[in-house]
Amino acid sequence: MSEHRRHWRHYLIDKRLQLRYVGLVALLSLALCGLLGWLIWQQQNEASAAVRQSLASIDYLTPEDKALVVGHMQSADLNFVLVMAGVCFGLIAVLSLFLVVLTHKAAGPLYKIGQYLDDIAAGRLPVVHDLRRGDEFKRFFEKFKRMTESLRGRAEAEARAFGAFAAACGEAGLAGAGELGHALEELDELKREKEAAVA
Amino acid sequence: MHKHPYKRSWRNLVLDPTYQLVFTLVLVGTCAAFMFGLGWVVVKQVDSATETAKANINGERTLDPEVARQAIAKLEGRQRLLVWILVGVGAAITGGLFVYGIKMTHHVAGPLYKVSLYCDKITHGKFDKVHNLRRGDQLHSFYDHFRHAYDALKAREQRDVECLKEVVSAAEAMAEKPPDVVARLDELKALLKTKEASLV
Repeated sequence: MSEHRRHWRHYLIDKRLQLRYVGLVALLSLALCGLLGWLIWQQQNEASAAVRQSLASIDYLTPEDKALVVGHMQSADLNFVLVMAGVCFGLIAVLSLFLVVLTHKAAGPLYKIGQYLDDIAAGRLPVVHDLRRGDEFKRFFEKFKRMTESLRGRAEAEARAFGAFAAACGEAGLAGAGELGHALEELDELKREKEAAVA
Repeated sequence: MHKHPYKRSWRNLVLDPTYQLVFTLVLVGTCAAFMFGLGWVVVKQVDSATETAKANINGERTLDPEVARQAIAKLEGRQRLLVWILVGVGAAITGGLFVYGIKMTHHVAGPLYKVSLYCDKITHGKFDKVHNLRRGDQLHSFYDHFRHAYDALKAREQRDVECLKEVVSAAEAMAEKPPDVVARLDELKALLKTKEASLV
């Protein structure tokens, strides 16, 4: 059997669960960037204001030169803020992608178990395959796997017991007799259902 | 039904250590990294602004030296205060997020823990009553899948019991039974007893 491979399109399995976490971390990061960025901007402005004040008292520079220095300083301040904002947004974007991958490792097993549960609800008892490497909820999955294995084992044993009783009745010539005959028909139907469930 | 509704307890907050700690540490680590990185830039900016202001004060020859010293001390005090505020806020955010992260992941680990208890019971052949999730729990849709599967298993178990009762009663009504039939019937009776016990 070929091993199931992760695909980019399938990374958002449980949007509510995954985006809630990704959104929370992204929003918190944005809030921190906004708050600290504002502090940095304040400090930058204060330093620039101090330099501008110093420039005003210098008498060997022409007003044009002073304007040039102030203009240069303002553009450097703006560049600094823009670069910082760009880096922050970039980091948050990369972080969000990483978190989608991380949350996929929790949503993936839940999706898989959900499908197995649907099978069980529909009357089948599937063979449960192991989780992929790196998936979360391994302990829970082991318990779920043990449960389905025990259900399969019980269904097989019950089908055998039903079959053995029907065969013994058949050999004794009791199979077609009245009430027991009707009950055996139902028992045979159950046996077939159990065999189909584990097939 | 339980006499007392289940209440969350601090001792039971970490139900799935791997999942809860990984997701919480990513949350806390991310915010701590942003706090540290940008906080470091803030501290550098504050240092630079303080140095510029100090140079300005020192360069002001008309200023009284005592006034200049006080102004510089005030600037340095402000610089230290800002650093402490940053450290304090950073530590508070990190600690708060850690607690929040554990609580948030508990709302996912809790329902899974509950389902795992039911899985254990089914493994040991017991079909108890399934209770609802607690307020604030996540994974409602997953829990619905589990409930449908659980209800189906229980209904099948009940159907088995009805059928086995019918078979056992019809077989016991037969006057003469060969030993092989009696032996197989005993197996079915034992199975019926187990199944009835599983539904209690």
